[in-house]
Amino acid sequence: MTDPVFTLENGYVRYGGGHPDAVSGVTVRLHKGEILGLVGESGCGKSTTARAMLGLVPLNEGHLTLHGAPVGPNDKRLRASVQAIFQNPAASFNPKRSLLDSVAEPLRVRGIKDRRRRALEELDRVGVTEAMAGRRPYEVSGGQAQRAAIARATILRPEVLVCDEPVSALDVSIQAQILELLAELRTEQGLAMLFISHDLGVVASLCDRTAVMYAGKVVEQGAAPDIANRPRHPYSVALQDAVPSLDLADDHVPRVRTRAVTDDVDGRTLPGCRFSALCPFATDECATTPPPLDELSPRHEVACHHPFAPLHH
Amino acid sequence: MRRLKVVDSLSLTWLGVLFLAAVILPLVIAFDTETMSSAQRLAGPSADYWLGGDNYGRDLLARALAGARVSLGIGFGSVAIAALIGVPLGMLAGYLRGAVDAVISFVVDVVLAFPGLVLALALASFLGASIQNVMIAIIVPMTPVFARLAKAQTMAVSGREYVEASQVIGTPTRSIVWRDVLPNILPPILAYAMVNVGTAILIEGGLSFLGMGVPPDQPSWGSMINQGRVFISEDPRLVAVPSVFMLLTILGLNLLGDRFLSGNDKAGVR
Amino acid sequence: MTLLSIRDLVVEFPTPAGVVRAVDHVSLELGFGERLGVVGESGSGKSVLARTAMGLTRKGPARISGEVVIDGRSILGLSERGRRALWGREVAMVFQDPLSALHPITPIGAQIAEAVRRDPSVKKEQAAKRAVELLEIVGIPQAARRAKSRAHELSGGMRQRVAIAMAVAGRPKLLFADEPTTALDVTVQARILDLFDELCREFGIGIVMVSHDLGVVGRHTDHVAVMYAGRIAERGPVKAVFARPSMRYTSALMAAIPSHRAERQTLPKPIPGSPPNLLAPPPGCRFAPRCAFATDRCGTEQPTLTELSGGHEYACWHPGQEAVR
Ligand SMILES: Nc1ncnc2c1ncn2[C@@H]1O[C@H](COP(=O)(O)OP(=O)(O)OP(=O)(O)O)[C@@H](O)[C@H]1O
Ligand SMILES: Nc1ncnc2c1ncn2[C@@H]1O[C@H](COP(=O)(O)OP(=O)(O)OP(=O)(O)O)[C@@H](O)[C@H]1O
Ligand code: SF4
Ligand SMILES: [Mg+2]
Ligand SMILES: [Mg+2]
Repeated sequence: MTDPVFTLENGYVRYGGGHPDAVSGVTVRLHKGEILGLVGESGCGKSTTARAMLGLVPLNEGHLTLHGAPVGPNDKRLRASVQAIFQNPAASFNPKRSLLDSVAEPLRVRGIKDRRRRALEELDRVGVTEAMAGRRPYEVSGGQAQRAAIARATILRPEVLVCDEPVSALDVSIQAQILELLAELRTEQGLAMLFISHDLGVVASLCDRTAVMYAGKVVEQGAAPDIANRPRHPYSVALQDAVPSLDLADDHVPRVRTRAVTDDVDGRTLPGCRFSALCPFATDECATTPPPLDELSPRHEVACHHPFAPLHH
Repeated sequence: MRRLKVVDSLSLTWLGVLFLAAVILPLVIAFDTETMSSAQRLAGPSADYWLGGDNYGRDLLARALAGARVSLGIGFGSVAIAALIGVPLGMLAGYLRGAVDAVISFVVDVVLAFPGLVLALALASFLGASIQNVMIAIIVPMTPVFARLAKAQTMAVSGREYVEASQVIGTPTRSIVWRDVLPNILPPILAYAMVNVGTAILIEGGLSFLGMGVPPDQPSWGSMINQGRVFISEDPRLVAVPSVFMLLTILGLNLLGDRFLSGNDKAGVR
Repeated sequence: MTLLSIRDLVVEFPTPAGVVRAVDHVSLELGFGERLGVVGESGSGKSVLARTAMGLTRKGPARISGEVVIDGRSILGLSERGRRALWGREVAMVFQDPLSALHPITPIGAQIAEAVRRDPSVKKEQAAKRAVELLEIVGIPQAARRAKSRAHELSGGMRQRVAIAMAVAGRPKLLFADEPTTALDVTVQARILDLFDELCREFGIGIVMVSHDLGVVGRHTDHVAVMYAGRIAERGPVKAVFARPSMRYTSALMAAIPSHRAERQTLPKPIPGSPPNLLAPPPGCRFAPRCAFATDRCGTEQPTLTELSGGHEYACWHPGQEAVR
């Protein structure tokens, strides 16, 4: 196993206002030429993790490393090596400027010459024509804008791409085009990527590894097909069960039925496992002791006192 | 370009004609605002004096136009200065937040704790009647309003994804504020400024009317109304002419400001 | 018995740039207690179809022709008042964003009670009791206490439940749901969809569900209509259509959906190009410019709906399950 290119080590983010940590003790390691998928329910801290890795929110604890050496959130090396793609393609461009202008911006900031030609080249590479490049972000389709966003992120040849729901706002047909483009960047440029999505199908088809988050913590991490087909954390199982499968012959019954709760419980405030209020397998131990993220089998980590095994339950 | 409505074109026409007549025309021909002619004293409109004469027999139209120059000058001038001070302060507070915001917001809150008109009155009476002092009396209560508006707008815009995208690219803060934030907060601020020019003219008129603004030897709409009010029963024209000028101007500015804001809402905010 | 019958519906919006035909000669039928899914790309006319069928599309900005009959009553000819009388009692709608459907200050119980009282024979106290019952039906825990909450105090999933409770408060026969779960995460989505299934089974409500998620439609509806650029591309029993997609757009759409049970990384197949500009749609088959199987005929002649098997129809000159050659 090679050393990771970029990592978040044991990161904590607190937004303040008396709320519990949005992200507590999350470690994310990104390797060259590998895409790590990050999934989990709404509000579990996926975007916060991404924003912390981009230096957009300060870490209350923990730190970032680039090629093994710590980097601060405003470090020049971070800005040069780590780039981002956001969910809403049109909103990630200044509405007063043309796409071309915005794509050339990273070059302008660094005083690089021949900007127009290089930006047009990069746009052409992701499939945006010169005619489209002159338009404003709201004058092109979402797919076109997202292509331009990819061009802006890759024009400086970064090593890492952090993508926060880059295809969620797109139609499936366009989504597949963008996924192809991202897969190409992985194989051809060896980019390391963090890929956040709520679509488990997208993650299973694109990513090499998948991490599942619940209430601010990573609860399971492993090879993408393993997480998709052989999840071990009860929450991951419930999540996979909930996806309506397109294969109508596949008539599986839910493997994990979460407990019906009488009220909203914020898992973040529980002393033990954060899923214990909903988990059908929870014991007293679960309610009191937080389970550590342990390696169950090579490269498959789970944070659970009673990992799910189809035969035993 | 969207079609302008009738009221918008009327507003534009009035302000345009006023600007030409009061600011450009005097560069070509000199207005005579001072010659007193006993024949024209309180005389009605005639071929020479289109709107008649005032209580000293001076040309009322010439004085109203000269007054327009003073009133518009004070209106636009003080709003421009208030915006030039207030907007950057508000943007700093809104973008940097933290201690900078705390200090700026405290000062803004203190000034805004006084009702604007009362503050203007107090300042004017303390400083004495002169054009410069009228402007100070208008600028002081107006600056924090611009700061507050700019802060709110900046906070809204700086949470947008494109600002974060610029941060990730490594764009320096100075450049983000200048290229990403400013152009996107400008339309509402300009619209607000236009409406405020009207307010400034109104305050100037009020102060001058009370004798605390533009000194009577310099015609402004307010000082003309002030002088004319003694003769209101004999000849309401002396009050009516500057009042109508002021009314139409403020109305036009307000209508255009509103229009500007709603027109920009559609295109910009998406 | 037919609950909803749409015949030859055309909806056009004249705009400064030209006329947008958002719904183009669409015909559909739905029986009592049946569920119909409407799928298709963004801008294909799903929302306009649903809104028009409910009588929500205003005649001023839109030109409407064709016929919509709900439980024997023609909708399009009704006056504004006539339609209002229908909404909530005969037909109701659940929107994608429940916050927009709920009043921010009025407690949710009172809002539902108000909806219940659209039936004038219901008394005030009864309505309040019924509101709590409805909250229980949609699965809100501690319904009596929750009835006093305001919309912003609830999570997204709970809000959508409240919106559904409000929609069914007047015991409608037909429920339109426009992307009712798009804003929710999968575990919450699963519970909402189960709730819809239950409403259908227990109360015989007919449901028209607009969605861009084929999995949702496949699992939670009986019939499906696939729309492309305002037209029906394919329709029929959902099992039949998904087992044998025939119009090439349907096939391409299904191939573009990634499988969440993949054992190997297998990227879904993109559909090349982008959706047609409705101001100047292609003359023949609307999908022809993006279709791998298009011939000259496709570029000039509009395919009509052809029956494949019991109620399964497609509009395509070269039908087949493959999306790429
Ligand atoms: N700027 C903020 N201020 C305060 N709290 C915040 C802020 N941003 C996020 N949070 C809170 O932090 C937690 C994690 O939010 P985050 O946006 O990271 O979730 P997410 O996993 O990305 O969710 P989604 O799937 O809905 O995008 C949530 O409880 C959220 O309410
Ligand atoms: N009021 C209107 N005026 C002009 N055009 C309209 C109007 N309403 C809808 N349209 C157009 O009609 C077409 C169909 O829109 P519709 O909202 O039904 O699409 P949709 O299939 O629901 O898409 P989405 O999945 O994005 O919700 C679009 O091209 C849209 O721009
Ligand atoms: S640790 Fe316990 S409560 Fe948590 S997921 Fe595992 S079994 Fe469930
Ligand atoms: Mg997020
Ligand atoms: Mg829609």
